Amino acid sequence: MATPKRKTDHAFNIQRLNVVFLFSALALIASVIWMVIDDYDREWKHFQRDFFARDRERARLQIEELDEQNQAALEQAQESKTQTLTRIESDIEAKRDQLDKLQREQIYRADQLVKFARAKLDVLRYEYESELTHFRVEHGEGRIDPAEFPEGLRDRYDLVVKNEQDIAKLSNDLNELKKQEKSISDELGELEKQVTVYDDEIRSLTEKRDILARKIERTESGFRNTVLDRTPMMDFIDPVTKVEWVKPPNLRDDLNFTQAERIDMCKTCHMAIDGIGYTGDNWEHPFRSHPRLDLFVSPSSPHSYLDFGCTVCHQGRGQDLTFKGSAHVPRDDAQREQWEEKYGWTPKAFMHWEFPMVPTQYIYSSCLKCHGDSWTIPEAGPTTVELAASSPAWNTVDEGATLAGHNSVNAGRMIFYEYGCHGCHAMKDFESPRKVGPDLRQVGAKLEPDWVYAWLLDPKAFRPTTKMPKFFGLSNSGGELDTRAHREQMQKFNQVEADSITAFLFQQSVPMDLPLPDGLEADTESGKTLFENRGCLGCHAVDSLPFAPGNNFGPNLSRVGEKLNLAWLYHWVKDPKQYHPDGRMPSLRLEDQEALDIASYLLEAFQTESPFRGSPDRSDADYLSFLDARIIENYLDDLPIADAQAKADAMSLDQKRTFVGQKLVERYGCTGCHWVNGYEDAKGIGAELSEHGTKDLHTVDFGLELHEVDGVDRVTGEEKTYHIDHTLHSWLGMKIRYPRIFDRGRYKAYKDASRMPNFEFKDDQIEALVTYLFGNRKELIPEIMKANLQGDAQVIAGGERIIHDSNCYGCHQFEMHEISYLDDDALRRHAIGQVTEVSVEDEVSFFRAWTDQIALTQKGQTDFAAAQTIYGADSVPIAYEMFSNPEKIRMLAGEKITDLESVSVLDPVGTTLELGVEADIQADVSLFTAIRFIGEDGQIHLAYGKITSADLEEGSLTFGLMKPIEELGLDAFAELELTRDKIVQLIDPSLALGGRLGRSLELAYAQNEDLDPFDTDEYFNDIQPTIDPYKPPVLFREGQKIQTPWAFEFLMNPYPLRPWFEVRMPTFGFTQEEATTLANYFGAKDRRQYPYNYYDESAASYLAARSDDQPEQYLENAWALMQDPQVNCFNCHMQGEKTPEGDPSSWAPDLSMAHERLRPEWIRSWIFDPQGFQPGTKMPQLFLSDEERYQEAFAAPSGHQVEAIKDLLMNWTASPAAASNPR
Amino acid sequence: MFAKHAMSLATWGVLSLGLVAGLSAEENTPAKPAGGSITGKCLIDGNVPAAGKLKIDKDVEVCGKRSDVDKSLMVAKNKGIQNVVVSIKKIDAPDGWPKAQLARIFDQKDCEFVSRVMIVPVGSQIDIKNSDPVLHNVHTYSRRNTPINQGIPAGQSLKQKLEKEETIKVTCDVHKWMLSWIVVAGHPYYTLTNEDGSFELKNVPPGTYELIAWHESLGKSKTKHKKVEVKADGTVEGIDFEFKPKN
Repeated sequence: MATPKRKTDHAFNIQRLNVVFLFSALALIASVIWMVIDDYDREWKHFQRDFFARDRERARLQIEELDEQNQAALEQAQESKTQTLTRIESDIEAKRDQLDKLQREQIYRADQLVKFARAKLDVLRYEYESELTHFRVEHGEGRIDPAEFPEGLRDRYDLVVKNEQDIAKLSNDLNELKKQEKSISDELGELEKQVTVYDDEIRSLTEKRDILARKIERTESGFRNTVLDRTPMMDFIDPVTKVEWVKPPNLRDDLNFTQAERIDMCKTCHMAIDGIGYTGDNWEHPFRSHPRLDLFVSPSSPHSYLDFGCTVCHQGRGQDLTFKGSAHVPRDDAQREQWEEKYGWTPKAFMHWEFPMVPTQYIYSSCLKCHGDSWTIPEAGPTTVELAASSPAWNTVDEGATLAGHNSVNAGRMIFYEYGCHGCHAMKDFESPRKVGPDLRQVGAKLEPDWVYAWLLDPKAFRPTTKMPKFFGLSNSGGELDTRAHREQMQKFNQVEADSITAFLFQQSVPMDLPLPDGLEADTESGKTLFENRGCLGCHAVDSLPFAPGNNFGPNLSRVGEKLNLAWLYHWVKDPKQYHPDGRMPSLRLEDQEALDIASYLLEAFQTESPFRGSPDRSDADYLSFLDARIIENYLDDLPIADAQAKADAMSLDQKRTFVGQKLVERYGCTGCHWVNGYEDAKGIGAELSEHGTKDLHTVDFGLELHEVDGVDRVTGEEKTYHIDHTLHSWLGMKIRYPRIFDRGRYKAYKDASRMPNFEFKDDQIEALVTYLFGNRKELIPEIMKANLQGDAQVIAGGERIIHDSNCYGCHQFEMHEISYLDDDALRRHAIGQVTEVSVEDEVSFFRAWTDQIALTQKGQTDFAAAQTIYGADSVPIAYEMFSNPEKIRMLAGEKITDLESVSVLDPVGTTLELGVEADIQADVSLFTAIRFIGEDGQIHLAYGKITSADLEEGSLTFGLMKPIEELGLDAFAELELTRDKIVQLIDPSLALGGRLGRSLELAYAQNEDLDPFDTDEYFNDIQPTIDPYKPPVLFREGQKIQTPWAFEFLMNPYPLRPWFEVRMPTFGFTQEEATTLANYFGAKDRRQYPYNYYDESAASYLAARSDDQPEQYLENAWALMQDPQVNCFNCHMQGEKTPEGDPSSWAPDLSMAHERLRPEWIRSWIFDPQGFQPGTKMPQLFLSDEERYQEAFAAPSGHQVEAIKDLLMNWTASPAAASNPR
Repeated sequence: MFAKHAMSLATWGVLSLGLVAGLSAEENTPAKPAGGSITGKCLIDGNVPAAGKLKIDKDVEVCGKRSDVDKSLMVAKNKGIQNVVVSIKKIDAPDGWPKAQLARIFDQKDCEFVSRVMIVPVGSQIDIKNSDPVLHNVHTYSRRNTPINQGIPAGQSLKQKLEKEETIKVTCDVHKWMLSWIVVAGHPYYTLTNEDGSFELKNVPPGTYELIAWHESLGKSKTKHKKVEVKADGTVEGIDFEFKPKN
C-alpha cells in the first residue's frame, strides 16, 4: 500500500531551503571575496607595484639630480625673464594698446568703408548694365563705345567708373593701415620674443623633469590611483597595474592542429626590459634592462619588441603570468637554488611543457631559427671556442659588463661540422656532407696494420689534437668510468675489435702504384726549408714550433714519421687528390724534387724514440674465444647455435678477423667519416638531430636515475663531479662528455649497447656544441621572419663557407683590428688598424690606424654622412675612406668635393696612436695575446698581454699582464711565469683575423737564426722586417683592389704573382661555381661592382678627352714619367719578363698584369698614398699633393701625373710599355 | 758645443759618423750641481770578426762610389765595438731638457745614410735629405712614431718630427743595403761608443743607476750593470759591456 503523500504547499521544505540558500549565499560572497583578494594578490601585480615604487624612487633621484644640475640655470632663466618683463612690460603694453587701437578704430572703419563702397558699386553696375542691355537691343549689338552713349546711360557709366576709383583709393588707405599694423605687430613680436626666449629655455630645462614627474604621478598613490588601482573591485576601471602584452604580427603559436596568434605577456613582470639604464646591482631580475638593446627589444634595433616579442628567442609560455607557469629554466645550480627559495620553483614548472625557456647560457642557440643560412651568424659569437674564451667583446653589454658564460652558437656549429658529427647524425644545415676523415679505400699503401691497431684503440695517445674519436675503453667498454667487474676482460675484448677492424680495412684496401721518381736524391735540408716556407704551416702545426698560433685545420705532424712511408707521402704531398679526391688538402704544385725533399724531411724529423705500434696476442685463448663469440652471435638470428659454431670453425683466423671487422665497421659507422670500398652509399648510423632541440624529454634515455658522474676535467686534469639534471641540455652535455654513461648499471645485450664514440671534448667545446644542437628546433617560423640572405649577404655567406673549407684564414689576414678611443677633444672615435707594439715594461701599447675612423661621434657621423651625400650611400670612394688630408681629397675627387671642412676632422691615415691600457682605450682586449692558464688555485684563468720571454725548447714562458687578475691578486704589468703544463691555450690575436702562417714563418725564421721572437728589438728590427715581404698578402679590403674576373681565373688556376715568394698559393681544385662565389665575395664584401665592371680608361674617347686629342703623346709622357730616374717604377716592379736589378726580395709585382688584375680607382689611390692602404708597405709615396715633382718628365700637377700612370697601366697593351716589353 | 755644430751643415757629416749626436749633457750644465761621469768599453766576447761586404747591385754608377764595407758590425783590433748605444735606464730628463728643438739633418749620400746611428732628443725634427742624383725612399720601421715611406727625389728633402722615444730602423727599399738607426732619446744620458769601443757619459746627476748597452747587430749586452753609483764630480770607470757574437 502506498504511503499517503504529505500534504504541503511546496515540494520542498522552505525552512531547510532557507538554510541552504543562506549558506550558499555566504559561500558565494566568500568566494567572491576570495576571488577579489586572489585577483588583487596576483604575483605579477606584486611585481608591478614593487617596480613602480622603485622606479618612482629612481625618478625622484633623477629629478633631484636634474634639479641640482639645472637649478642655477633655471633660476637664472627665470630671473632674466622677470627682469626682462619688468624692463619691457610697459613697452609691450603700449604696443599692444597701439595695435588694438589701430585695429579697433582705424582699420575697422577703413575696412567698413571699402565694404560699403563695394556694395554700392554692385548696385550701380547692375543699373548701368541693365540700361546698357536695353540700349543695345534698340540700337544694335556693336554699339559699346561709351562716347556714343546717350546722356542717361553715360551718367550711369561715369558713376560706375568714379565709384571704382573711390574703392581703389579706400583700399589703398586700408592697405596703408594694415602695413602699419604689421610693423607694430612685428615690433611687438620682437619685444615678446625677448621674453619667450626664456620660456623656451625654461621648458628645455624642465622637460625631462616633467616627464619624470608625470611618470611618478602616474603610479603614485593619490586619490585616483587609490580608488581606481588599489581598491579591490574597483581596480578594473582604469588600473595602472595591468597586463602588458605584445602580439608580433607574423608569429604564430603552433597548437598541433591549428595555429593561434602569439601573444607575449613577459613585459608584465619584466617591466624595464626596454628601459635604458636599469642595470647594475640595484636592478635584479625581473626589473633589468635587456642587456643588448642595440640588437633586441628597442624600436630601433633589428629585432624590435613589437615585431618579435620575447618567446621567439627565449621560448617559455608567453601567455602565463606566473613565474612557474611561464616555464622558467635556471641556468645553473646557484640560480636553481635561488629560484626555489624565492619563487618556490620546482623542476615540474617546466618539465612538461613543449618549449620551456632557454637557459640564458644557451640563448644564442635561438639565432639558428632564422639565421641558419648564414655561415657565421653575426653577433652570435666567434667561430671557435678558443676565441669565445678569449674575447668577451662579442657578448659585451652596457657599461662594459659582460654576460659571462654565454656560448657561441657559431662555435658549436663549427665543431659539429669540423668533427664530422653529420657523418652519423643527419642535420639540415649540412645536407650533402663531406666525409671528414681520410679516404681508406687504399689505406694499405699508406699505413701499417700495427699502427692502425694502436691508433684505433686510442687515437689521442698518438695525436692529442686529432678529431678522430675514441671507440674503445669507454664507460661501457672497460674504460675508467666502467664500474663493472669485468673491466680487464673488456679491454681484451677491445683489442679483438680493433684488430678485426684493422684486418678488414686492409683486406678491402685496393693496391696503389706509388713509384718514386728515378734518379732523385732526397735533400732533407731543403725539405725543411720548403716545409717551413712553402705554406704547409698555414694548415699544419708541429710541436717543435711551440708558440705558433694553434692551427688544427690539418693534422699536427709532430709524429708523422712514425706513421707514413716515403712512397705514399711523396705522392700525397705532390698530388693529394690522387689518394683522397674530395679531401681538403690542396696541391702546392711541387716539383718532383721538392715533394721528395719535403716527404723525406717530414719522415726523418718528426718521430719519437718509441714508435707508435701495437698488436694483440692472437694465440691468446680469450682473444680466440671472443672472436668466435662475435661470429656466432652474428649468425644466431638465423641459425641454430651448432650451425653458427660450425660456420665459425670453418673460417681461418684472418677470415674471422675480416668478417668481424666488417661487421664492426658497420656497427660503429666508420663510413660516416671515411670512404671504405663497398660502402660508398652508406647512410649515417646515428639519429637525425635536425629537431633535437625540441626532443620530448620522455623519449630521452636518462639511464638508471643517474644524477652525477665523477669524471675528470679534460683541461685541468682535476677530478670533477658532473651533475645530470632532468633537462635536455644537461642530457646533451653528458651524452657528449661521456657518450655511453647512460648504460651504467643496466644489463644490455652487446648489440643494444651504446656505441657513440667519445670525442673527448673539453667543457667549453661541449657547451658550444650543446648550444648548437639545442638551437635545432622544430618550430613554425614564417618565411617572412627569417633572415633569408639575398644579394651581397648571400654571396658573402657563400664565400665565407668556401674560405673556411679552404682555410684561407690560415695564410691570409682578412680583417684588421678595430679600436675605439677618446681623442684629444674627448670624442669617441673608431679606427681600424693593427697593434704595432705592446710594451709591458713601459706600460703602454701602440696602435696604427690603417683607415680613417668611421667616427662614432656626432661629428664623425656628419662627416661620413657628408661623403655619402656627395657620392651616394654605397659608393663612398676609396679616396674618402683612405685619405683624410682634405687636399688629397680635393685632388682625387676633382670637382666633386666642395665642402672641405666636412672632412677635416679626420686624422691622417697611418697615424700611430698611443694607448694607455686602462685609460683611454676601450678596445677589444683580444688585441693583445690572450693566455688561458691553470692558476695556483687549480682554476683556469684568462690573461691578456704579451709573452715577454719564452723557452722555445721547453715551451715555458713569462707573460706580461695588461690587465689585472683580481682572483689571483695579480696587478696589471705583473709578470706571470708559466710552465708548459700550466698553459691551457695561447691565443694569438691574429687568430681572429687570419694570417696565422705569417706568424709561423716568423717563428721558424727566429728558431733557425737563433733569434728571440719575444724580444722587442729582435722582433721589430729583424724578424718582422725580414719576414714581412714573404708573408701571404693581406686581403683586407681586397674587393676594392682586384677585378672580379681576374680573381675567378686566378682561383681556378693560380700562378706566381710575386716570383720572389717562397710561400705559394695552392691549387684548391675549386669548381667553377665555387670560384665564382669566392671571386664575387670580395666585390660584395667591399661593396664594389661585381662580377663585371666597365672601365672606360681604355676607350679611345677617354684618352682623347684627357690629352687634347693626343692619346699617343699622353701615354708616351706617362711612360716617360714611369721611367724617370726619380720615379722609376721598374726599379722594383717587374714588367712582364723583365725583372728589376738586385735581390728578388726587393721586387714588386708585375705591372703588365695590372690592367687585368686591378681596379683603376684603386691604382690611383694606391699610388697616391701606399702607406694609407697598407702602412709598412715597401711601396714609397712618390707623389705629394702639395708639391710638384718630376716636371721635366711630365709637366702637370701630381694628381694628373698619377692619373696618367693609372691610364697607362690600364692601357698597357696599347701603350709604349707593351712595345718595349713584348709579353 | 755640439749643438752649435749641429746647425752647421758643413761639419755635420763628420760628427754624425762619430760620437754623440748633439744631446750630451753639456747643454744643461748650469741647471744642476756638477754631475759625475761613467766610462767604459764595449767589447766582443770572442774573435774579432772580419767586416762583411755588401752587394751593391743597383744604380751602380752612383752607388758604386761608396765603400762596400758592411758597417753593421765594426770591431776594432782591441775587440772594441763601435756604434754601441749606451744609456741609463729609467732616469728622468733634467728640467728644461732639451733646451731647443734643433733640426737634425739625416742625409743620404752615395747610396749610404751618412749617419749610421744617430741619437736625437725626443721631440726633434729631422730633415731627411737626398744628396744623390738617384731616387731614394726613406722607410722608417717605426712603431711608436708614425712611420713613413716616402720617395725623396734627388736633391730634395723631407721634414719629420719624432715625438716618442724609440729606436727606429731606417732603410731604403730601392737600395736594400742601406741601413741606419735613429735613437729617439727621452733624456740626455745616451752615448755612442768610439771606434775603439770606449764611451763616456758625462754630467750624470749623483745617484745609483742601471746601465744598458745595445748594438744594432748584436742586440742587448749580456753584461748587467744594475747598480752604478755616480758621485758628484766623480768618475766611475771600468763599466765594460761584453757582447756575444752571432754565429
